[in-house]
Formats: sequence, structure tokens, C-alpha cells
Amino acid sequence: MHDSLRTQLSELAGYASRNARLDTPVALRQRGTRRGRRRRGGVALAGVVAAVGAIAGVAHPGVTSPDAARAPASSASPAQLTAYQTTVLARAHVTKAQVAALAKSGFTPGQISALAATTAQLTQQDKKALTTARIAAGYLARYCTPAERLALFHEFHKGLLAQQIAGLAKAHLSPAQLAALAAG
Amino acid sequence: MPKADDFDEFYATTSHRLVGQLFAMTGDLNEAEDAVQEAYIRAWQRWPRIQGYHDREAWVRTVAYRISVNAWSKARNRLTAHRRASRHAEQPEISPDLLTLVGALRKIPEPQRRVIVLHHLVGLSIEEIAAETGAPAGTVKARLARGRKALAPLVSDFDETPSPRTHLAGQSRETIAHA
Repeated sequence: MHDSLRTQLSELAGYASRNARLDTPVALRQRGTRRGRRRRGGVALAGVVAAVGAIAGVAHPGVTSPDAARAPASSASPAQLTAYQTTVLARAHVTKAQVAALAKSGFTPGQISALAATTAQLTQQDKKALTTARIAAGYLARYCTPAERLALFHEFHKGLLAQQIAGLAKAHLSPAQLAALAAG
Repeated sequence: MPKADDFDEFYATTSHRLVGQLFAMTGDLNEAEDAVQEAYIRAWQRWPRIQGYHDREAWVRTVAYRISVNAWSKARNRLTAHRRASRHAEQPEISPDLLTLVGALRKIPEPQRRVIVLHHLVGLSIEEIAAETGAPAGTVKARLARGRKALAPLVSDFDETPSPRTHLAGQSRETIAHA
């Protein structure tokens, strides 16, 4: 009968309750408070995201990528950037302008991932000789349209680092999120 | 400044019970402990708002469950749990019957496991489970039936027959607990 299942589940839960090793509430509160402070003070990008959030949904003429156009309108809010994405972008020191520039040139998340992979490959080959031109050449030859090549090359001269591209790829930003950042 | 005393009391009265429920859902005690503690940390960060909720325990349980099933958090939680487990190497013995039940629960899909625990352990009605999980009542009923059917051959002394409670939608938790 169901009573049997209920009894067995109760025993199981009782076992866990009795043997649970939990921190004190004071310790948990301290962890929560510390984390809150770090989040407020340490992640500059969070402010950027908030600022972008204020203008989310504003159409930016001529910059919408095909993927962004397909994305549902409800998912376009950058407020939906997860804490993980924000942290990854912040750790890679990716600025709002850099994300926006890549998104404006119509790069999809897949293309950014490919760019990160190519860059990493080139970095492994010869760290010292890694130049913006080499990074660009490795990527441009395979993945970009002429317009994108021009935009990307321009961005490399602005100083988008391999680490930053990797950060962007790791954040797995959706097309809608990229578009929203571009709108900022 | 949120009131720490209220939080501490809430934690003291509910945390162990929630670990038990999460353990039944996840089948891993260390993971359940970490997910529940993480949920309480998040609750503390939002305490002024959560304090006013009608069912704060349900909020923590839902957050803890989501933490435990989130793929990225899961990997991180496992790492933390592994570190914690290595600190406390001695794990209390679990009876063979309970071990069988844990194994059986692990074999059924997570959504079914969740509704089984919420219904049979926590004592929630179909409507309450639907509200907590965000799934329609029909889906909850189907998961419950499938979960019980899947568990029947795996758990000893468990005969799969329709529960009268399944049809008592909207009945309060207290009423169910004393039925």
C-alpha cells in the first residue's frame, strides 16, 4: 500500500535528518552577507548590465543579427544575464563596449565560440608571436563574411584580448542577450 | 537590517527536515546538505521579502531542488560535497532496505521522483504540488502514477494501487497528514 511507501520514505528522510551535518545559521548568514558585499562592490560589469537593462528593447538600426531577430522578444532583456555569465565576463575583463562591438558586427554566439577556439589554438602554437594580425587571420579565413572581417579586424586593434574572447564564449550568451548588450 | 533571530529559528526548525526531503529527491546526502545550505544562504539574502511568505519552507525547498538539478551547480556541488565528505569520512550506516529505496528512487526520472517525495513524504496535495513545481495538475497526477508504477517492482512491500489522496485536490497539508 501507499502507507508502505510513505513509511519507507519517512525512514529515509529521518536517516538524512539525523545524520545531516549542517553549518550554523550564523555561518550561513555570514556567507550570504559576504557574498552580497562582493557582488555589490566587486563586479563592475553588473552595473554595466543594469545600465543596459534600462534601455533594453530599444531597437538599434542595422545591428540586429539574424539569430537575434529570431529570438523571442521576451528573452531580450539583459536582466536575464545569469550571475555565472556576469562573473565570467567580469573575470575576463570584458567591457560593455567590446561585447557590444562584437554583437553589432552580427556575430552569433557560435561564431564567438569558434573565434575563441581558433584564438586558443593560435595561442598554444606560439604565445610570443601571437599578434592581432595572426589571430584575425586564423579566424577570418574560416568563419567570417567580408563585413564581419572588417569589423573584427577593427576590434582587434581596439585591443580585444584572446582571454576576453574566451570569456565571451564561455559565458554562452544567447543571441538575444548579445543583441541587448549591443543595444546598450 | 533583516532580523537574524527569525532566520535562525526558521533554519533550526526546518533545515534538517528539508535535508531529509532533498535526500529523498537526490539520493545523495552530501549533495542534499549543500543544496539546502545554499538555498538558506539565498533565503537570507532576500530575507525581508521571504519572511513575509506564507510558506517559506516551500520556497527554500524549491530553490534547493533547483540548485541540485542545475547542471552547472551540480558539478560544483559535487566538488564541494566531495571535499566535505573527505573531511567527514565516516558515513553513518544505512539499512539495506533504505539503500534499496534510494537505488529505486534513483532509477525513476527526476520529475517523478520529486512528485513522489512531495506527495508521499511532504504530504502535499496534487494542487499544492502543481503550484510548487509549476506543472499542471494533470501532469502531476501522471508523474505520480508513473513514478509509483516504476517503483512498485523495485521496492519491497509496496503494492501499486491508486491512492485516494490523489483525488483530493486542494485538501490542506494538515488534513492529508492526519488522514
